[in-house]
Amino acid sequence: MWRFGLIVLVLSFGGLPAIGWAQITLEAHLGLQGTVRLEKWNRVTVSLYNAGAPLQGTLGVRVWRGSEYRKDLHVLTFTRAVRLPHRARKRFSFTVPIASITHPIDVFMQSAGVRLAQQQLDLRDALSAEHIIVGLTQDLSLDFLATAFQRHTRVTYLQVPELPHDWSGYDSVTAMVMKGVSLQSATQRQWVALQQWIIRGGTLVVAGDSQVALLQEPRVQSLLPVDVLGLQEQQGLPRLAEYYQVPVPSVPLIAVQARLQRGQVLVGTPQTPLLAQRRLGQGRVVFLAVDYAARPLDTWAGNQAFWKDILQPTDDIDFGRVFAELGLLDDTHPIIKLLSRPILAYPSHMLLSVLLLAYCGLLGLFFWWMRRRRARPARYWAYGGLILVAATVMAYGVFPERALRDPALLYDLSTLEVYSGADSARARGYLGVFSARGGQFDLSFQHPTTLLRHTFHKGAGKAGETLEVTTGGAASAIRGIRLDPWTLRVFSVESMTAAPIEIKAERHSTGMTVRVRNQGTIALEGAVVVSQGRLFPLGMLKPGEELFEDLYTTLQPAESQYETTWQALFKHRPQAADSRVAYLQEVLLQHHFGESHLMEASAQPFLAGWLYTPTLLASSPGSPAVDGMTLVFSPLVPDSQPAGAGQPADWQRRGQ
Amino acid sequence: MLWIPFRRAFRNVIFRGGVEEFVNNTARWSHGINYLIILSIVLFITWPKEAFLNLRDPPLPYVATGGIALVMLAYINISQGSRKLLGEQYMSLREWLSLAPIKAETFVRGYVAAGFLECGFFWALSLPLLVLAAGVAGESLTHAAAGSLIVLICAGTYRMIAVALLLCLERDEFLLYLLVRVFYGFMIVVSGFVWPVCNPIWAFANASLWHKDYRLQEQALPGIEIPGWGVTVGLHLLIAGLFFIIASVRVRWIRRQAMRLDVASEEAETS
Repeated sequence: MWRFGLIVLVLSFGGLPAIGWAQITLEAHLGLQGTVRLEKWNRVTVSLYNAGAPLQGTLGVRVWRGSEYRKDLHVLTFTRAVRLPHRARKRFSFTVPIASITHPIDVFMQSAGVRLAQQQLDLRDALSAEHIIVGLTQDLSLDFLATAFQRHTRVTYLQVPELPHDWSGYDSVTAMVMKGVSLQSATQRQWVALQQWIIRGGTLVVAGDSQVALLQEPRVQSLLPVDVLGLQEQQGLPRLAEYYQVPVPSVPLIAVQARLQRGQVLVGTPQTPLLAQRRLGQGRVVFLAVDYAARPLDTWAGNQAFWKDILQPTDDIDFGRVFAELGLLDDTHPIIKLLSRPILAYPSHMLLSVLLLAYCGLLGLFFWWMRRRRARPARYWAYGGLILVAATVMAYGVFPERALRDPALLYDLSTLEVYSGADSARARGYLGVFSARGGQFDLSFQHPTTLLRHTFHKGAGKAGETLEVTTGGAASAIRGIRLDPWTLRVFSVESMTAAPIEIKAERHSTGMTVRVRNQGTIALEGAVVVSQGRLFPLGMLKPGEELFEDLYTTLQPAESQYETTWQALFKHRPQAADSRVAYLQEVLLQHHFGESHLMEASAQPFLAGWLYTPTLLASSPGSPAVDGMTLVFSPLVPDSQPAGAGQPADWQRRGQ
Repeated sequence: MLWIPFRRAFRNVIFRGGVEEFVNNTARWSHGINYLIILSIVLFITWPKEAFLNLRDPPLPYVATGGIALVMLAYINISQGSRKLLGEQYMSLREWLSLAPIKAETFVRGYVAAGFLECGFFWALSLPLLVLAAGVAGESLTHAAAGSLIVLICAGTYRMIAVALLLCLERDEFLLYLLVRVFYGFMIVVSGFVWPVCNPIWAFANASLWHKDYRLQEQALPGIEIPGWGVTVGLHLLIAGLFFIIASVRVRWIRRQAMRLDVASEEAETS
């Protein structure tokens, strides 16, 4: 009997798939060395070890988002396909949004629907901070920054291999300070991610020390505002002492000898800059010629003010996001605004009247004919039935609103911010999925790293509470968007993409010279440069085309001073046959420029244009067609701005 | 196979008479046109004027047209069903049945089928308008089919009830008049508040995109979940079946009574 039991036991174990709890070891770590920043996307690093047979599965991280107040609490599950050979140890990184510490984060590994390993990360145990400063240094010499600001700041030290591989991995980082480290050892992905983070608004501080060769490496050199020439000895930092009115000990020190190449000198001269910066997109790269951890700066009394000026940490609360979470901005969301435009094509009352008159008239004639001619009843029924069938078919085929018959309406309204000298552009997308009849839908993105900033739903029905975000491939996607009939789900997303245009501006005595090259695959239409209340139409720029234009502000008449920016640009848009295109443009312009007046908005010249295609959503077979439009916006920073002629206004203000 | 019941029905003399009377009665056609004009006006008024997407409420035309069609069809079928359909206006049913050499079952089937023909005529007239309204309201064809089914079954049920009441209360016309209108008021208005699952208008709305606002209790049976409108349809079918049985029993009873009276009168004559 026991033999039979043993055989059954062996067979039952043999019948199990080659998976099991004991085979997989999962270890998850939260944030950058355990530090997270709420309301931002934070990194979750998962290490997997497979001691058993090779397996394929799905690695997932589940987080809670939304608000209970709005009854919009939902679960976001980030998944990626994983293949683990026998005795393989692999590490994966996710970037997930963390809004509050109420709900833990679930990390799990599953295969064939069976959960093999899981771990719960309790956010109450995590170190949260309002500012995270990353030190890319060999020493731990930045600890003093933790107490330098009013807001709760944490400093984390990373090695080059630990740097994020996507720009989204930096979302929680306020600034990064780099010293004595080579960026050449970073992978290409890490290098691109770092550049994209700066373009998106990050601050990179590159400090000098005795290893000057590291600052002359191509990658760092391409970022720095200065040309690094070598090292020089000097006595104290008199310019710094003079600027901050705080004496600096007059000790001999070694400083990096450099010459300003682009940007502004903040302390020093263009020939011997002590502190210089350049704008790269919305971010900054700051060069500090001396070692902040060595004498005399390590014990300098003005250190706090000095670093505050270098890092310029914004203590502002992102009210936009807070308001959005509370639902206060729902009605101003571009998609909601778009749906309040006449985007549907209902047949007119006139057309309806014609059909109704035709139907009733035909029936009336038929009844009159029946009374006049006494035919066989079967013939009456046949003719009557024919009229009814014809009218029904016509009502179904000719009259319905086409868009409502589609499974869903997909909208992608994007704004693409292109910066001079940057290869990447920042794309902000406002997406909407509306379904008249309900169903389950997926959104595929064109770019592998697309962050979901905010989502909410509106309509007669409800939307599903779970969303799955797949990452790790060539493109990411949001899957399982469940909608009740007549319900809309709206997403605000953000991504970094290759800049579709390359733009360069130079100022001359009577105006500006602009050179624009379309390096994308789609024509830039209705391009217009706006400067000092004047509009300079550039027209269409086909792929590969380059435009070189001299703009004379004295020759161009100024628009009315009461004109808002969006109205002026809307008037100069390319005329399209489809009125719905105009609605997309109107909504995008209104959202981007608000009610700002043209004079005020064009104090800093900018270029605006249109890509008649969605930038973020990819159309996939079997899914509804995506209707979208992209507004390209590029602030023009003329190269002829006198370098080092004076400190920028913000720096002067802070210095005082 | 499908044709067989229709052939059998068409052999029914009562039904054939009903069809002939229907074809020759021009008043019904003008009723049909009037009914259609009212529905057209409703559709015209509720037709979307602005082409924006109102997220709060789906477009009104479908539910409005369907609801009004139901209200009118219910009244037409209850009132027309409680009036004598065939050539018996000038004599009672008892006399009519004693004179006509047909079976009770044949009479009931034929009479009800002729009534349903009229019901179907009005229902079919509204079909293109319902499809038209469904198109602009974003309703699927499935919804439109479900809605049309609800209209047909509910209107047919009221016809059946009216016929049964006519057969039962033939002699007391005032009571019949009163009862059918009370019944109409209950089914169309009162039931919406006290017994929503029995209300046809709620069922119609429940089978449309507005089902969130007009939720009827879903019934869960083992392995199947019946939507609220399905329960209403089932309930109406049950009621129709019950009243068909009542009508059959009543006609048989009249027939039996008539035969007994005939025998008695013959015996009296022979004695």
